[in-house]
Amino acid sequence: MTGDEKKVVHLLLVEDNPAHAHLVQEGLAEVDSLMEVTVVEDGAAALAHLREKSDDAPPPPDVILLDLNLPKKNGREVLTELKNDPTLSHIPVVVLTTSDAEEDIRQCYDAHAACYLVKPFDLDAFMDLMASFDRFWGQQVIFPPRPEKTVERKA
Amino acid sequence: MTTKNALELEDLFFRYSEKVLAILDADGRIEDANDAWLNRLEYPPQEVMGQRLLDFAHPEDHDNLTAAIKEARDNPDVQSVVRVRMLSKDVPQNTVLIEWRFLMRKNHLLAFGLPLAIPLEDKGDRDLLFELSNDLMSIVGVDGYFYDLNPAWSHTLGWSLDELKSRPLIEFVHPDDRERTTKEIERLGRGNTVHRFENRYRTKGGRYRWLVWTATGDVQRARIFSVARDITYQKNAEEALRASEDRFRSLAESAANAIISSDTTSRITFFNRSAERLFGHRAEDVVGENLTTLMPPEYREAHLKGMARFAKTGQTRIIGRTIELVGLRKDGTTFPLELNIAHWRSQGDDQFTAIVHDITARKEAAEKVRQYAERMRRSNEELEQFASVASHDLQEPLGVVRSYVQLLERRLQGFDDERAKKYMHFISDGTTRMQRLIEDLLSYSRVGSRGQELVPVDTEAAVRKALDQLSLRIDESKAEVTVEPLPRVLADEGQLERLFQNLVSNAVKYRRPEVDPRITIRVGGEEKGLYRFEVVDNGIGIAPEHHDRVFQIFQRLHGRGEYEGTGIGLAICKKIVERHGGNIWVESEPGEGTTIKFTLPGVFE
Repeated sequence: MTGDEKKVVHLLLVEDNPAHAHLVQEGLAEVDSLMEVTVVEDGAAALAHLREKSDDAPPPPDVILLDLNLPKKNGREVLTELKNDPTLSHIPVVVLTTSDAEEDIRQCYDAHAACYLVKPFDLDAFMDLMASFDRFWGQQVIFPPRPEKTVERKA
Repeated sequence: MTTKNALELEDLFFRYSEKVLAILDADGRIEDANDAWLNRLEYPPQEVMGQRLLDFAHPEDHDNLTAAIKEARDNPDVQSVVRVRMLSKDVPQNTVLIEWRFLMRKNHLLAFGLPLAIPLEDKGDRDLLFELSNDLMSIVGVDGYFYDLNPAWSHTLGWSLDELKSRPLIEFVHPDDRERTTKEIERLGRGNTVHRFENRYRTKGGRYRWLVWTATGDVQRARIFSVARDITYQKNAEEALRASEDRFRSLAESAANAIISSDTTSRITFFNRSAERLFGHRAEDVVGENLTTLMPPEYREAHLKGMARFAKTGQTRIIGRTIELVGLRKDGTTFPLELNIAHWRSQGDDQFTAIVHDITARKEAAEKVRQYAERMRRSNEELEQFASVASHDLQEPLGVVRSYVQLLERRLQGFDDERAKKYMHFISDGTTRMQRLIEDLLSYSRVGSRGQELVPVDTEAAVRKALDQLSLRIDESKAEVTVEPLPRVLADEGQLERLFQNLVSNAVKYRRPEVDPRITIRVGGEEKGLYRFEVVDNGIGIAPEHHDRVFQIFQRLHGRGEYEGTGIGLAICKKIVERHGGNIWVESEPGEGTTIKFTLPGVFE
């Protein structure tokens, strides 16, 4: 792998509202992001996706974008579960949600979220946010190695 | 001086001299006498004239008097002196000792009489005691007649001693006392003694006086020797006191409030009917018992301590005040009560009287009010939370709509569909507006839910911060804002800033187009701890019929095209001011500017 190659960053988006999910993808598309986005609708689906071990399993995500307003299990519970799982805790979780309540922010950081982003209502602002998200998480960040040996994937 | 005048003066001297003066003829008869005869001897001068001086002298002194007169007659220009007991008219036993000087002049014998204090050796001491005593002394026969009385009887009752002796004494006694008196006289007649017998005697004027007697009977002599004293005054006072006490008692007895009195040992001395009803005890059961009987056991010690302290130091925590305690009924139940205790002295004794109110009902009512207030408070909190959460949840789908409309707009930018673009514009506008309304609503609800504690705040600093926020708009409109010295207030600093920001923003916004806005912020006065602030502008003004509406949420007086805004600014101002305990109102006429006045609690050192 040369230093010039732009690595594909796999993003797992946990968002139940298709409108919001699509917006995220629009935003990333707008800046020609190289992130590959997989969308799951709730916490259970997210965990299932992450724990899949079959050969057809998709590549594990490098970063998770998590909404707090999820059906069944709420985002914070999912976050806690992720961080309690030694096989998954290394994946940075970015919370993207509408709430700007101090309580929520504090709780997420306490639960070891890597970052807390407040979803702006304004489209332009949202686009700016997605642009900066891509700049950092899609391009600059060097991800920590996975704890277990990687399974060699056949090309 | 003329002879006439001289004679007049001499006459006056003669008449008004203190000395008993007389002019006697050769035989010793009185030709002229002065007024002293009346003052000293009780004889009006007219009565003595023509009489012999001797007639007024005590028989035993006649010889001496005659001798003195003869001596003066025989030796003109020589004074003869003699001391003579002169008889007083009214009480013949009374004599007045007079030192007479006689002087013969021409054919007249001048007599100058100087009254002397009666030398005690001249009269029996005991007789004098009898005569001079203020007590009513008497010797009464068992036959019921006064045998002897001293002058005090006359002085007290007005009858002459003769009058008193002329009838059975019982006739002078008050009819209601006659039976007792008769019995007592009989008892005394048998040789007994009485120390405090009271009865009433009639005065000459027809009224009655109370006498108290000490008397002893002498069987042999068939006489009763007695001394009485006039106690009418004391009796009247006692009667008045008793009447007054009766009045008080009836009053206290019948009072709707429970009244309880006790003495310094905490014994109950008075327990009225209402107290009986309140505590369930009968008065006769508790009078004489300790006050602690009416208290639950846990209160008794405190009471006794308090009483002890008061007795020692005169200090008290409860007397003269209204305090709440708990009472114990006869049936063992307790109830909250309120006491008003007064302390007073009666004849050297300390008394305590308490008016007792059963405040169970009042306490229940107070509890209900408290619970209601608590419910209200919680309800308000819930409402605020609801508003907050609701508006937040409303924002979300709105945001989505807006975002996608914008996305659509972008997609359609290339297309030529003007109508579609216009529709999108309307949708966008509508959502924007709705978003602002929701934001304002959120803002409004947060005045209460996110309000900070009220602390002393520098008002001028808050105003400056608010003006900073508006600096762009102030410059654009060429507004001139004058800030006069402002006192410190108890406030939530952020909300205070907001308040001034909204008011100044309005003042700038609603300006008269042709006139540069001039805005003044000042304090108008202070009353009851609240400062009255005024924000004055020279803008378009507000018609009186709208003065109340402007403070309501989303009330706008102008069309959407004329002025922007959702109409929540003043509603937020009102909520902020009221949260601080003040009031806000407007004074304005169309075309004459607007003054918004509001009160805030001041900081006073």
